[in-house]
Amino acid sequence: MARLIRAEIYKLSKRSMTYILLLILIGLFALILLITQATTPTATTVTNGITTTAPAVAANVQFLQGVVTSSIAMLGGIIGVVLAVVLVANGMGSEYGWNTIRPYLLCSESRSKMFASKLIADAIFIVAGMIICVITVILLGVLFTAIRGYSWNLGASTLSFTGSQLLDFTRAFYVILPYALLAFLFTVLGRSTATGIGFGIGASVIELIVTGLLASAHGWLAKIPNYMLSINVSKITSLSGTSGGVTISGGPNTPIASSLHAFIVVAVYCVVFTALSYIIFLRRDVTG
Amino acid sequence: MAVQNNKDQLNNNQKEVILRTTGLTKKFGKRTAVNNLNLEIRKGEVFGFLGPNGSGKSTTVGMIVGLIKPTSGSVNAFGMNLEENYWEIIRRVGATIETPAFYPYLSGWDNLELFSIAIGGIPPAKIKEVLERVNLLDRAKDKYKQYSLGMKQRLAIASSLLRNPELIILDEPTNGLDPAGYKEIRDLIPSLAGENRTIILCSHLLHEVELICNRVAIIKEGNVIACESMQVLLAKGQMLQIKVENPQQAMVILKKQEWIKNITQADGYLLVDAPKEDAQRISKILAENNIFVSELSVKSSDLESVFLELTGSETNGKTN
Repeated sequence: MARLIRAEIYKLSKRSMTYILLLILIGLFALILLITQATTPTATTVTNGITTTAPAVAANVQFLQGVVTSSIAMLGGIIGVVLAVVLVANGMGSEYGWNTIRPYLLCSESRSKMFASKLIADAIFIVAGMIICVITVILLGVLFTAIRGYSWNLGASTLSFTGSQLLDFTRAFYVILPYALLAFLFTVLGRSTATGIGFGIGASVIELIVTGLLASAHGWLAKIPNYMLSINVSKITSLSGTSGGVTISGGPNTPIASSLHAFIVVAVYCVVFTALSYIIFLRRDVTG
Repeated sequence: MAVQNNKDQLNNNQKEVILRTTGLTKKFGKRTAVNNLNLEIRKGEVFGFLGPNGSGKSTTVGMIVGLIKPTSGSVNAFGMNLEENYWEIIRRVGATIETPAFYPYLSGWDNLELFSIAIGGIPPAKIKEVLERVNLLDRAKDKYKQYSLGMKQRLAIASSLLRNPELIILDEPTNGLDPAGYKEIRDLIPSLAGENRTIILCSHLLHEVELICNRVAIIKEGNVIACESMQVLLAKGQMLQIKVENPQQAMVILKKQEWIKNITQADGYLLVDAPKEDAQRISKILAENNIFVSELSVKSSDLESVFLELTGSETNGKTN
């Protein structure tokens, strides 16, 4: 199993697509940070005839904290989801597209191990990408702070703050998972990257629309959104206090679900998507 | 020479069965792709597996390596059942299935390194060795997507040799090769067999199979219609070529003999489908009818004509 994970990591690390996705991720975050910086209102104070301009968020500590918090929240939002979907669907879809599934299976101890190693390697790369992104954002935050003429301050790295950010980071990864696994399922089902990305994202969008429609329903129909993916993902991301994407909530007749409920529903989706992919992958013939 | 050596070696190992399929059947919906296939392949053999397009060759190979699950029947290799001992068997098998398939963004070397990591226990020296063996070492660092079809074929063979396999399955290994490359591979296969390996060769090129293989199975519409040693199979296509003064009359007489399968006339000769052991008998019958044989010889057959006769295919030296 360890050999196959190594092989998967080898494949992903040698592939330019992996780095392009990472660059897109970092680039988007840098852009958002830049825009935020440019549009942040400044407070002007005049003391003894000297005019001083400072960010509205006066303390550097607060600014850096805000950068870290919002970037982690965004990772669990649409940007993180889309890039993870592309990575996962590409990893599996290419095997079918290039027909490498045949020789690679012949080098694998079993289909189960190959399946597991692919998912583990994808998860490793998603987490690595997220970590690199957060580090980049912190460095950029420090840079922008310095450009503004303030000394950067690592007061943000207090224990409680770091702990809460680690929790948010885990939550962000957790909410990416069902979408990535859904894309994986469609990739295996359709034996193509395009199917994985298309249906993976498409199904999520359709689910959003359905959730929106059901939100205005009455009776038992109004309860359905509580068991759908988007509303529970939104519930988890909202726990950080900063939403990384669109906040989805039920209608006036939809009972408010607990955080535990949201975690369980997302976990069930993850298990179902994985199990379905596994069964299909295990049973289906590999033909030319 | 290598073929002869291999044939000699084969005689020594004739009883050891490396691969056995029992009642192997595969159905895709209502269509039966492979029907009740029973094959035995012995150690050191170069086994040719022939059949027209869609006859079930690739499906059979797919089942042998576990890529396709049989509807019924079983595959046993090295004395073990494939389903129960997949990795124990597959780690001893090198296979190139249909067209070569590798990661296009990796070089030839990197592709083999990747497979080595997945298989485990293969030193970098082995990668160099197999690339050298297929004459690809000087292009090993080039990206796979830049390779010609012939180079891709050679890389596929190199990858099948990585794990030092006891059984090698080569599906169309000479597709896309130029004449020099074709000869290299044609020479490589018997030399591999000479290393006490067993080889299953699926090829469209009947001449190639005839030169290399010890034994051949011909499959048509999922059924094995012949599985013989090359000598026996070629003997099936042998004809007695007879020259007489009055071929028409001779033909009428011989057609009355029920044990003669077929008689045709070409270029003033009678071509009699009968074993060479019957030559004396035929000569005697004709003499008894005052027809005297002026020439009698055995007309050798080639695999192509035997294949065409058995499968009823129309080809130009190739199966489709």
